[in-house]
Amino acid sequence: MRYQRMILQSVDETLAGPRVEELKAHLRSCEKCRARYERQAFSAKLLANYILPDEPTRGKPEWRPAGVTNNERRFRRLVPATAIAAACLLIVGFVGWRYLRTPKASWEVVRLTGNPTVHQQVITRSGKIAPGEWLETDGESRAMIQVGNLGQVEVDPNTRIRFIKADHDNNRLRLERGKIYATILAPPRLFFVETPSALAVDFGCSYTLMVNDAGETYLRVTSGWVALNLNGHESLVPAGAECVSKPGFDPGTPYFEDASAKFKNALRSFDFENGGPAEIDTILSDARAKDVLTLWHLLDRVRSDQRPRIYDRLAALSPPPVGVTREGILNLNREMLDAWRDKLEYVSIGIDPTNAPTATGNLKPVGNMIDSRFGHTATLLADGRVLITGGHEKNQNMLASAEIYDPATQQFTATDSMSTKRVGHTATLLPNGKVLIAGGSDQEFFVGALASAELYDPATGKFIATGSMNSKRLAHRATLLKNGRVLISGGQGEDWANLNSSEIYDPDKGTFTPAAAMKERRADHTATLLRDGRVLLTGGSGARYHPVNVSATAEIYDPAKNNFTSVGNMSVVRFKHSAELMADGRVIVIGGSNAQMWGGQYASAEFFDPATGTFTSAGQLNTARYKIRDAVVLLREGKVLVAGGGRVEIFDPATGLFGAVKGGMGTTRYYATATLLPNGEVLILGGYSSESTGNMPSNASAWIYQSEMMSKGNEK
Amino acid sequence: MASLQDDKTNEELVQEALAERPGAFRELYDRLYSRTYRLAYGMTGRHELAEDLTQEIFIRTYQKLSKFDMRSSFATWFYRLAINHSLNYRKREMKDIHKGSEIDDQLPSGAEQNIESNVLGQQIQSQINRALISLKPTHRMVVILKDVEGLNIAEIAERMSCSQGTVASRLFRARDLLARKLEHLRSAL
Repeated sequence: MRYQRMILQSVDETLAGPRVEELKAHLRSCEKCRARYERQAFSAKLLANYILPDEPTRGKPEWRPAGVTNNERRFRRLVPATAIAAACLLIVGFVGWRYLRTPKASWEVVRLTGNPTVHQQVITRSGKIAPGEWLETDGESRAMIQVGNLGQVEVDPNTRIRFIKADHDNNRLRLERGKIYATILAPPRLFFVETPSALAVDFGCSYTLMVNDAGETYLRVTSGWVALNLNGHESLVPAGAECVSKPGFDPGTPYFEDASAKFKNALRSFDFENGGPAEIDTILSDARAKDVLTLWHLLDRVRSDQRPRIYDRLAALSPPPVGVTREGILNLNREMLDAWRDKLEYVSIGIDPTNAPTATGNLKPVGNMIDSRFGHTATLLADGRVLITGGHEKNQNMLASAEIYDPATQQFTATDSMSTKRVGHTATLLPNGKVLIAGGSDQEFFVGALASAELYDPATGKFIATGSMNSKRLAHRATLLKNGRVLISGGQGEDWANLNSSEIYDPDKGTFTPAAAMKERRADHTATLLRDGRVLLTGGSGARYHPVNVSATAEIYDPAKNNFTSVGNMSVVRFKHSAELMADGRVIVIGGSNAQMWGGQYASAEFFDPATGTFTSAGQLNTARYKIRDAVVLLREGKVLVAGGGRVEIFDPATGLFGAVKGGMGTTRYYATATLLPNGEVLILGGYSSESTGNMPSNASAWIYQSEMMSKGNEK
Repeated sequence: MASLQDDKTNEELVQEALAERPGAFRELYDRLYSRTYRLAYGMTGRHELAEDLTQEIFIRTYQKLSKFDMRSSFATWFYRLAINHSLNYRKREMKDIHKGSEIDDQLPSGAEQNIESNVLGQQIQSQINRALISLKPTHRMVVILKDVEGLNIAEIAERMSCSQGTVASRLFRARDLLARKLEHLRSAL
């Protein structure tokens, strides 16, 4: 303890007087403290450099948060200023290197909750587990194992796990039953977990491993890769995928967790229930582009007479690389199988742009808006121009200004300003040609929402007041009904309380009237007019701040009955997502996030079918994204364009795939807008970049998406 | 040229904000944003999460402003609130992780957003971020305040409402763990 404090002071250059010599003498004689000293100095120096990416010898790119100063003083302070310290570092370097590579005889165990035991001794706070010892948790207990310097394993309740060994290249646990979460930051094949039915081999990743009372193993990988091995057979499982293994069988075939239930059931039957050609039929018919790794695993698992079918489907989804032949694969040539797998590993997780689906069409810049904006609205007017209102100029700088984009001249011109600043408001084109602007917030930190509404009249270019809503609302939705009225649903009200109320705006009277209450409080939800005149509402959050209570539920508003009725749930909770009515009458729900917001963005999409009232998978975007509420539009040809939060992508109902449009808009754009123009082009405006450093500066630039057909037309 | 408003103390701005002078709180926000954001970034390791956390901190400050009694400096009161809120934010995140959702999204750094660039510096930053994320929140806060923010142990103890001995112990432990986790980077520095 005494030397611990002195080491700290020495590293921070606050140690002075005779204690300098005392520490120096001690470090000469104590190998353990030398190693400690070196680790302290190393970490301090590392962190100083961590915030000093401008330091010239490092050549790091600029990525730090705004406001971090180039504090050379701090760097100098952490560079050993005395010859003693420098000498110590040099002397102990080799010793420390050896120390850190020496396998530990035991690993640290930390109690998280309850009374976990190691070797039947209760761990009150932290303790050690030695090779051969069992760690057990009851229904109330959780613990964490520090796996040397490789990572951590969190142990759930009702789990029994044994520490097998820690070696230079073999760090091993045995999970007898229960559930663990492993986060390992190490080179591949250094950490292993045995189970009664498989061996999980870490490739540098995070994953959940669960063993039930029957000894069956369930693996879900959340980052990186994990292999399940048994009897010389291996299943390679990427992030987002799962794999099951059962005693007496080879490891199951991995599959992505968003695969269809039919696909998963067929695989399970094939793997563990002697499934045959019928199951193969289902697997092949339901396989998506991202399921290529699943199909690859089947190549050497199916009967030889079924192998050509697997090959053909796989080759159609992702052609084999040069040098890999059909004959070679059908004969299970190992080198060719591995070469194809090497390619598919990347394709399956969507990071091989040469093989990922791409969309046709192109993007071109069309100048800049007068004001930079995100969280604004962009509404197509009856005369083909676009009204742009409000939004943020940058974080907390809200706008009352409005401007008009004219596709004929590709120019932005200022128009009258709204009566107040508005962010999180709605803008709805009414049958009479005016635009209803409702709610939003004009206050810092959204401490207050607005009940006020106003109308923009394109004929006069002016905003005029109309009746106010009955509730203050922001992040609500406004949906033009077939009867010409507007349904206002949910949103955030006063004091950050989200609303379950709704109201109807009558353009003839200029008034808002309370309507039925939704089944749930919803803000940042979607509201989509269905073909039959009803409105589908999905997801949203029940509260603005933690816990935000993001919802997976959906409900339908029936204007004829003025009521909301619950329908099936989405596969995941979503808010700040988007939904669009498709040409076939279904609704596609895209992206969004869970309560972790940035950390919980989704790439997944799903269909809602009004005929059945159910949601089914619609595949995966190439980029997960949220804050896209007004950035999705249905194109003339029936495809769906997704802008904002990443590269522009197009969903093609004919293929069931999302493809990224070639080229980009220079940066990601959250809370951008996408507006379908009369000529079929799409106007994409503003947004803010996730690469920005805190102040969320918005973008003024405008881009036009043209489909391939339109591009060719223009060339002629 | 400095404006008259620049001459006002934080405490004066607080009094004006409590008296509902328009823009007073905004000036506090402008003054304190960068440092708060830096702290939030240190605790979350991602620009996007830091944005969310920073907003929460200022919202909480706005809500609790009337409870500032003017007996200490506003900066001390504010950073204590920011630290406590950041620690709670980490707890909430960990709780979500324990529910089994999106572990991978908690780990990558902001630098990893730029996947097209693969220079050594970004790899290092990413790994430091991962190592920092894996520390206990209290340990992480201490190293951020000490080695990133440059506060001394007495200042950290005051802001975290704990003893200097506790801070020293946490700092030693945190640096030790970081060095072990990042040992492979020694050759890169």
